[in-house]
Amino acid sequence: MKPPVFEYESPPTVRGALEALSKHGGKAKLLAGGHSLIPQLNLRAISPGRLIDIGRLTELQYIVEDYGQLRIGALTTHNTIFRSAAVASGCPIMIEAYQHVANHSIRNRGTLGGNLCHNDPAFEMPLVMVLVGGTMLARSARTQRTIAADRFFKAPFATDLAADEMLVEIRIPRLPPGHGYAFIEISQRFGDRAVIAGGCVLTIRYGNCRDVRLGFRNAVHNLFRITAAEAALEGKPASAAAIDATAEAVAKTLPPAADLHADEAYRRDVAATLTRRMLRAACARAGANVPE
Amino acid sequence: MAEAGKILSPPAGRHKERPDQRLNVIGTRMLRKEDPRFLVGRGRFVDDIALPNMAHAAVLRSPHAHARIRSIDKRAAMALPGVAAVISGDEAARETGPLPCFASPPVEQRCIALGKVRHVGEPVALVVADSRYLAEDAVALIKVEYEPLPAVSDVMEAINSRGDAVLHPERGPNNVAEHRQYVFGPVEQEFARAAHVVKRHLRWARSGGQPIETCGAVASFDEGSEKFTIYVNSSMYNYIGFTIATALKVASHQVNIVPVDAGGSFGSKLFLHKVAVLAGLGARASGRAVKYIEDRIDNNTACDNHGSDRTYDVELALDSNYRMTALRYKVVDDYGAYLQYGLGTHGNGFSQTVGPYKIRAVGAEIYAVFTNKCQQGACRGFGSEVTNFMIERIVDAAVDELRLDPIQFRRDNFIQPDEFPYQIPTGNLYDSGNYPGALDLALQLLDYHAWRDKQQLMRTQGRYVGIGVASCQEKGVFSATEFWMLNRVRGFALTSSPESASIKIDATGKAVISLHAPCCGNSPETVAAMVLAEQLSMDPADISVTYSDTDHGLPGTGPGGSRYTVMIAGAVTGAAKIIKEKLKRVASHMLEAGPHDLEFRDGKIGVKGASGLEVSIAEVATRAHFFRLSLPDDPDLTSGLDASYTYDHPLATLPKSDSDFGIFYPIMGHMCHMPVVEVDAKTGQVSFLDYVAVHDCGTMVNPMTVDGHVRGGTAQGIGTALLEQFEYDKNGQPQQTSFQDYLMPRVLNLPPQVRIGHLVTPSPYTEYGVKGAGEGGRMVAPPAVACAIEDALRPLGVRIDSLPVTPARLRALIREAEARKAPSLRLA
Amino acid sequence: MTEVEVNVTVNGRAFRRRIEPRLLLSDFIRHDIGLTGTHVGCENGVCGACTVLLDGLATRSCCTLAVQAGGRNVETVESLGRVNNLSPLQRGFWEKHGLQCGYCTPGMLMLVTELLRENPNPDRETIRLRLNDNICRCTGYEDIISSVERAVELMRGEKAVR
Repeated sequence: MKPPVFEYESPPTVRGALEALSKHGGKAKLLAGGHSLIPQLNLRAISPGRLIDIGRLTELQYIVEDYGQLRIGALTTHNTIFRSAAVASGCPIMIEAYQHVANHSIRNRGTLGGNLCHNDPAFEMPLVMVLVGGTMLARSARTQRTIAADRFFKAPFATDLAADEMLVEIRIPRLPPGHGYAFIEISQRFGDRAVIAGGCVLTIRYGNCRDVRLGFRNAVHNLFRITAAEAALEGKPASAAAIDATAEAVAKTLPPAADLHADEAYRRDVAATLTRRMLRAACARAGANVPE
Repeated sequence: MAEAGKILSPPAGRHKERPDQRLNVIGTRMLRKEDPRFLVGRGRFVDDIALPNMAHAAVLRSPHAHARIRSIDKRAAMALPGVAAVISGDEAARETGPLPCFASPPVEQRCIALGKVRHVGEPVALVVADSRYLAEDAVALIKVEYEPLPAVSDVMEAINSRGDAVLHPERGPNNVAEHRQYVFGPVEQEFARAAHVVKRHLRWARSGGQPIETCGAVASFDEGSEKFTIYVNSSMYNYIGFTIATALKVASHQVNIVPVDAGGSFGSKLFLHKVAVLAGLGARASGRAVKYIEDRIDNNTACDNHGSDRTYDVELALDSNYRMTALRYKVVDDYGAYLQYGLGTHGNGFSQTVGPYKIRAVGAEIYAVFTNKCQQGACRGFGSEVTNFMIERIVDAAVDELRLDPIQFRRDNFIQPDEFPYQIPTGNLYDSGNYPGALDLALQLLDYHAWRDKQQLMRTQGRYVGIGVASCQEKGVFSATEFWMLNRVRGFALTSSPESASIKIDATGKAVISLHAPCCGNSPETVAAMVLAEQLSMDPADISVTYSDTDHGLPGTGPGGSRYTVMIAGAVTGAAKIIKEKLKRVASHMLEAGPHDLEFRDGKIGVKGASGLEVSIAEVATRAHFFRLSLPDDPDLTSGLDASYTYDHPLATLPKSDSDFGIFYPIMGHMCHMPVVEVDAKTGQVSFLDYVAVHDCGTMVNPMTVDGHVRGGTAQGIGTALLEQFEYDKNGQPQQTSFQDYLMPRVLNLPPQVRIGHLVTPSPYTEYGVKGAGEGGRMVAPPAVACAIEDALRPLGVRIDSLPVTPARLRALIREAEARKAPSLRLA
Repeated sequence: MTEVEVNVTVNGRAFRRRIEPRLLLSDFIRHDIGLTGTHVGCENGVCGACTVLLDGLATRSCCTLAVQAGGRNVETVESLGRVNNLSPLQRGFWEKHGLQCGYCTPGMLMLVTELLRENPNPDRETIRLRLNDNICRCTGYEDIISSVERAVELMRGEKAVR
């Protein structure tokens, strides 16, 4: 299982990378950590004419706390983010989700930007970005634009980026202090691709659930927020009845998804269970313990 | 017809070393001799071999499950710079013969498909090029025109296949490769008068050994001597290696097969022919040495890695005292596209087909069916692990339906410790055992009653915790008769399954043992050195071990069927005794004492009872090598100090008929496993709270390596139970072609600790009483885990009849069970 | 395919080679440099047998191009010790039967080398979680965990002696 032939360049600056992209556009792929790309090359599942190696662009490796937001350079590695105190305090759901992202060795080399741009329907970080309302900063040789997370992920393995654009930064708004969150993943082995993963964030105000964002990844679809479930819980008290109603809304509206590892009934069934479990955990973190 | 029961005049043991002696080396946890080189990254695996001007091969694999090959256009591939050869099936058929096959009548299989492909992944062309990268580039340029044929992937459909859907039309009108029926003992009568009959339909999906290293070979052909040299990570090369020469259309002495370290086998490297023949073919065609290493897709789709793939309908007859009297089963086994081991995996099961129980009669109906899948190979247990699953599941079914106690029921039905050697209905013999003792030890180690109490408490907390039990046999040391005794046509009915060891002691007193089968993780160097060190009272540090190629090799069947430690103990003991006699003869002249007055102690040979009167082995060796004229003039006393010994199976007899297969697998180990599991009923995930494994493998040469095999085998068994399978869709497309989708247990899938207990019932037939231990864990863990899961979900009434129990499947069973219990309730 | 020049330090020695950019780091180490201790199991990034340290970080060399190691420092199993001078980690594996066929062992050793550098005193749960990265088919892992615990003891002892 060896890669096919490709042209290769390793521009030393972001500007250089963008120039290369504008020149070679659709025929080139960016190489960051490589742990999604190279296995595909080994399988000869893809055959890009050119690889543009951006793995050494340290200018895109940073975690900065601005007032009200975290800014993470797209080439920051997963483990750097996983170990960051700034992320732990500013976006704790990301840390909880990071436990499930691949494994330690892959997280040493894989980058957040690479992960988001790959948008594998089993990947956790795209869901986290949508739930926390992240924004992507994309640049091309001549332009720059921001793309809200819920518009960035277009289809499985596809994003809104044009052929000459590169993701350079991810911006995550600081969530209110005392907010509730949870991220749970089901897979056959810890560290495997998810069979189904769910996340939620919310706040409790005067005993009611507010700003509820809840969603799933099912390894098949470009799945994110389940708005019917969010609506079922928004404004309701943090109670077993409300959580059950939300779980039922998830079971009703979740698109059916089957693959080698699980059938549609399993995902639907487990999504309802995960909804109950993560909402209980999120409410507890937000200060409202809901009994079984 | 073989009468089941204690054998009143058992065969005498012919072993030289009794089990109940005071031993100094055997039985200790000696650190392994193999480890240092592996720890520093200096193992010699097949891909580490580099020959001058070596080329690399890659294989074009069929994308179709069943198709005729209309044409192959290799021009673009051949034109690629760096490509040395592109070989199609037609060309290969001129240069090579069919691959070796144990079935009789044989099923023809070629190293490169000839005229027709029968499974996805089957080789269609071989490319030889300067690098594996280039070879794969060339593979992508080969254009093949296929005429697809109907692909059959469902084994029941395959039984009724007709016409173009038949894989081997020369064999018959459908895809039934074999349909055999066997009656051992009074099966019909026992079922007719049974007080109770319990039935189950069971499914065991195909899984495989999946060692981390794939299979591969490096071949060179010397035009001057017209001789092949082939490095291959296979084990049976000093047994039936000549079949590779035959496939390459040369005489057997025109091939020298050289062993390498193997990165795990679990049966998958037992007898590799395809990779060796492909590499040889490429070498002869290109005029260069050729390396062919399977990548993971090659290995998953076209290897000797796939295990049994069975569906059972099994019935158990019991009398009014709840004693099991007879077992009857129909099994359909999906063999894939070829039949390299014949029905060997079913014959294997006949060695222990009543488990540890006094079942008097067994009826078996076997369907071996061809489908468009990779053929089955050998996988740890070689079919008997499936027999164990069948037996323990029907035992648990009886326990469940008749509301019996799972522990007491087994106890009441065990063959008792005073009933050995015991003959089972198929004619095989169990040499020794203490099954109640193993059960008791497991109960004690687990603190079974405490766990039952905890289980009660946890149930009230809404937790699904279960305790499983399985009591199973581990056959060891096969006789070659198992390869052919179920063949419809006898074929080559070989009866030798020996193992050899060659020992020399050099002039300075250091020993070199040559083994004739390689290391694949089974600690052969450690075992051989320990036995020799025991025999000669030598320091194991003064012993090194090497491996013989076929030019220098003696008969050696190699590791497999939990035989190797027993056989090596026999071979090394045999050779050691010859050397000891000579050492004593020479020493007796040096010490002026009779040979009978001498003993071996601490690397020396000395007069018994006289501590000062001794000479070191080194001194004796120097004398033996260099000082012939200072020894008596005796034509039978030659210079040097070496011996070889070929140890045959210590207890095997010929099959007598289709209802009495004689003694073919008598060295019988036993295991009792008790897992404690917790099921997350909402997600179907299973975790382990505790795990006890009691193993009886007779005298243990090295308890540390035995424990290693127990843990490793148990891990594979847990994988088989919960995670592993090779699936094919209805078009015959394999679903698990790489490690991405074939799931093996990782650390967190396994119990935090497997607590091991040892019970020792030595064999009365082997040297030191050793029995086999390599396969055991995988042979008992699957039914033990299935039992535990059923026990956990007993409040819901879930039955585990099918492996693997993946979370999705278990959750589906739970949902169905919940619906059955409360059909009016909405499913939550 | 145009070749590129790559400068890599492997086990402290500098190497300069002209290679195809598609050459995998695992193949570069094994065949271009000739260090065959690093093994290949899946070429998918799943089994971890090919694990080396790249600038001190455990990395799957089958999912890394050799060119990505340019200007960087690669450490392989050959850097850990010699047969007559095994490192405490290697000795721990030997004493506690942490290997059977030896094929996954180099990957395990490098994975654990990174762990022990960042945390010389990991508890059993930490060890188990980290070892979950790599697959062993022979041992069932328990003896590998014990080997790491033994290595920690040996390293602590050596520090005490010093």
